[in-house]
Formats: sequence, C-alpha cells, structure tokens
Amino acid sequence: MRTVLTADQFDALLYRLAPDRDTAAALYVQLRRRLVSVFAYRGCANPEELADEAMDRLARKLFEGPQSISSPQGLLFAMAWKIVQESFREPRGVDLPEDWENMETYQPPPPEEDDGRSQDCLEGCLGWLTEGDRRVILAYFEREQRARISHRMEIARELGVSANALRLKVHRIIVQLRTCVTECRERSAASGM
Amino acid sequence: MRIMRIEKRLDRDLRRYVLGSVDADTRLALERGIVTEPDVFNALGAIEDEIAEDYLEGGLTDSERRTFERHFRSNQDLRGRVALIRMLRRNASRHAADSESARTAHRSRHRVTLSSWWIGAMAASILVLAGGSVWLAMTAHRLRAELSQRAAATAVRYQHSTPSAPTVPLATITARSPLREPTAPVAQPTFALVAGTLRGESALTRVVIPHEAQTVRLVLPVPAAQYGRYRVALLNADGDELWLVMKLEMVRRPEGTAVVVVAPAATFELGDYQVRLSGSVSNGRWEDIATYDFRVIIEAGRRY
Repeated sequence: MRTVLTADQFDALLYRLAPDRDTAAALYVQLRRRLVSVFAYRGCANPEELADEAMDRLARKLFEGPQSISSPQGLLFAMAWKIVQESFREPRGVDLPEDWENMETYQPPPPEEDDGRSQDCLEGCLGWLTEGDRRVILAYFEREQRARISHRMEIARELGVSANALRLKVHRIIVQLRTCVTECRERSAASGM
Repeated sequence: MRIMRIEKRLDRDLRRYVLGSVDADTRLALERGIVTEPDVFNALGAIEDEIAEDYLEGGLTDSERRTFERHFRSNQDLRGRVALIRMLRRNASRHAADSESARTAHRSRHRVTLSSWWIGAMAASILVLAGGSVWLAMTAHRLRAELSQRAAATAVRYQHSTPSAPTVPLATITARSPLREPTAPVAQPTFALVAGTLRGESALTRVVIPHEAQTVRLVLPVPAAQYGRYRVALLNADGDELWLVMKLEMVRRPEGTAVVVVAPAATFELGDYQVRLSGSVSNGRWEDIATYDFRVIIEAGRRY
C-alpha cells in the first residue's frame, strides 16, 4: 500500500527537478508520462499507479539525501525498473475491457459515441494553434496510405526541415491538441453540456 | 549523415519496441532512454503516432495489431492520441477538399478577369505609348533649354564663390542623366497587416499603393519577443514565393511589438498576397508564427 508523500518530500522533488516551481511541475508531469509509457509497454497492470509510486519513492529519496544524487532521472529509472520487477511478482488483476468479447477485432470507439463533443473540441483547439502549426497539422494528415510519405517529404522540404524534424513537430502539436481536447471535454462535461 | 543514421536506427528500434519485437538488451536501453532522455521519449511519441496511423489504415500485421491494441488499452494517453489522429485525418481531408474547391473558384474567377483586362490593357497601352512619345519629346526639348540656361548661370556663380575650384560643365552632366519632370519626395507608404486565417474577400486587409511609391513598408504585429530573428516571405495568390527577407528583428511601437519589412513596390500587382512570418529556433531552423493576408490595389497611373 502506498504511503502518503509529505509536502516537504514533494517540495524536495520539485526543487531538484528545477528551481522554478512551474518548470519543475511541468517536468514532473513529463517524467510521469514517460514512466507510464514504460510501465504500459512492460505490460504492467496499472501503469498510472506504478508511475505515481516511482515518483513518490524518488521524492522520499531526494528528501533524505539530496546532495548525493547527481541525476534524479537516472535514479528514477532505477526505481522504475525495481517497481516493474515487484509488480511482476504480485498477482495480476487486469480488468477485462468492456468490449472484451470483441477483443480480436477491437477498434477504437468512434468519435460519434461522445455526441461529437470531441470533434467540436478539436475544432476549437485547432483554432488555438498558431496559423503555421494549424497548416502543418492539417497538411500532414491530408493524405493517406502510400501518398502520405511523398506528401510529407514535400511538406518537410517546404518548411526546410528534415522528415524526422517534421514528424517530431507534428507529435508536439498532437500532444498540445490532445491536452486541449481533454480539458475541453472535461469542461463541457462539468457544465453538463 | 551520422546523426541521420542514428535517428533511423532509433526509429527502427522504437518501432520494434512498440510492436513487441525488440530484444531484451535493446529494450532495457530504450527504456532507460525513455525515462532519462526527453528526445528519446519524444521520438517514441512520434513513432506511436505513426503506428497509430498504420493501425487506422489497417497497415499492421495481425500480431502487430494485437500488440498495439494491448498497449493502448493500458495507456490512456496513447488511446487518446489514436482517437485524436483519427479525427485529425477526417478534418484534414475535409479541409483539403474545401481548399481545393476554393482554389478552383479563385482560378476560374481570375481567368475571366484577366481575359477582359487584357483586351483593355492592349488598347490602353497603344494610346499611352503614342501620347507618351509626343509628351516626352516636348518635355525633353523644354528641359534641355532650361538646363542650358541654369547651367550657364550656376557655372558663373560657382566660379565667383570658389575661385580655385574647377569649372564643371553642368549641362554635360545633366544631359547624361535621365530626363524627367521634377517630382515630390518619393513616399514610402506604411501598412499594418492583420495576422490570422484567410478571411472572406470583404474582410481582407486592403493595401492601396500610390503610383509614385518605390517601396512599401509592411508592419506585422507579433505577440511577444519569442524569437531572436525573423524571416518574412511574400507569396502570391497561387502560393508562389515572390521574395524572402531574413534576419529581421522585432521592433517596439506604441501599438505593440511588430516586425517591419520594406518591400519594393514593383513587386506588387493588383491581387491577393500573403506574408508568412517565421521565427528562428535552434540549429538554423525556422518556425512558422503567423500569416497575413491582404489585397493590393495600385493607384491609377502606375500599372494597369
């Protein structure tokens, strides 16, 4: 069972990530996301919980002896690895997904299931992007199948960047949009729309 | 070249990692990178996006598809991104279709305008050429006479004020200069453009260029000092780049911060244009900031 992290321990973690609290908070969220990915790819049952556990352990460690630790990220990886091993020893209770009967032909739920709210939110969020980013993201997904490769090479050439840089830029925009759409959906759900 | 090879290798390994076909050592090395190196984590995200597209297009093998589905069932973030990419693809297709029909409409409108405009322009050119030749001959004659008189007077004054200076045959110098009517100081009109998406025709910023203008100053409002240098590209209605200015700096004006660029007036014809503003980021790369759409109207007397 997880023990509660004290405010001092949490502050010690944030301070070691970055002296500025806002930057530290952003780094905290990003580190947590990285851990969730690793735990998910390791097939752990509850990646989100395990990520929180790893972050808590890191905070405690930094609070106890902050000076001796040169790289919090390195220590975090060591802790994550230990947590993965521990989680494999525990009995795994994985909830079956709601549509478990159709598991072999699983498709992500169509957007229509949420009354088009996500689509509305996406359109609003696209409006928040810079004109350049909006053009890039819409052009990037304009073509499908085989045509998409040459089309994206063309976009990269126009922007004067490598195909890899373009892909990373698009990923950054997707992450931005995903955060925006999630917040928008939460807001609309809270207001009962 | 070496960096590209490393990037490709990382991409290949990350793809295998996501699809569950990587060996144990590589997997551990990648996981260390994912946790400790932001670049590796971002590269993983980009690979996941790419695989999500393959998944949505049915481009994965059965085994790859099952592995990917297992991941995104346990990873809420990835699940959300797969859904988002699906929506984006639909939006992008719709947007492309809308843009194409708008371009087609614009091109056909432009063709009709040009054909009628061309006939009128031919007739006007003949009249202007004939009238202009007569006027030019008369003006040249009148000016030569006037300049000879002034040259003589000036040479006398010059000799009186500075006796040691050589006498300059002014008439000879001016005769080599192009003959033209004395004009008022050349104006440099300034236009503040508005950033944003393409607006309807009625709402386009209109830039009226006086016929005597040789340069045009464009003021591009920018939100804040986020970039060290700026790049401005001017595009015509067909999206062709007409000119490009780099290494511009932001200036502070009473109305706010802006990038100011001076363009030759001769660049512009009657029509719609777009200015594309980019800011410099690391490694000599440029990031798009905003676009400014406007319509140029040239005062009668210059070109039509």
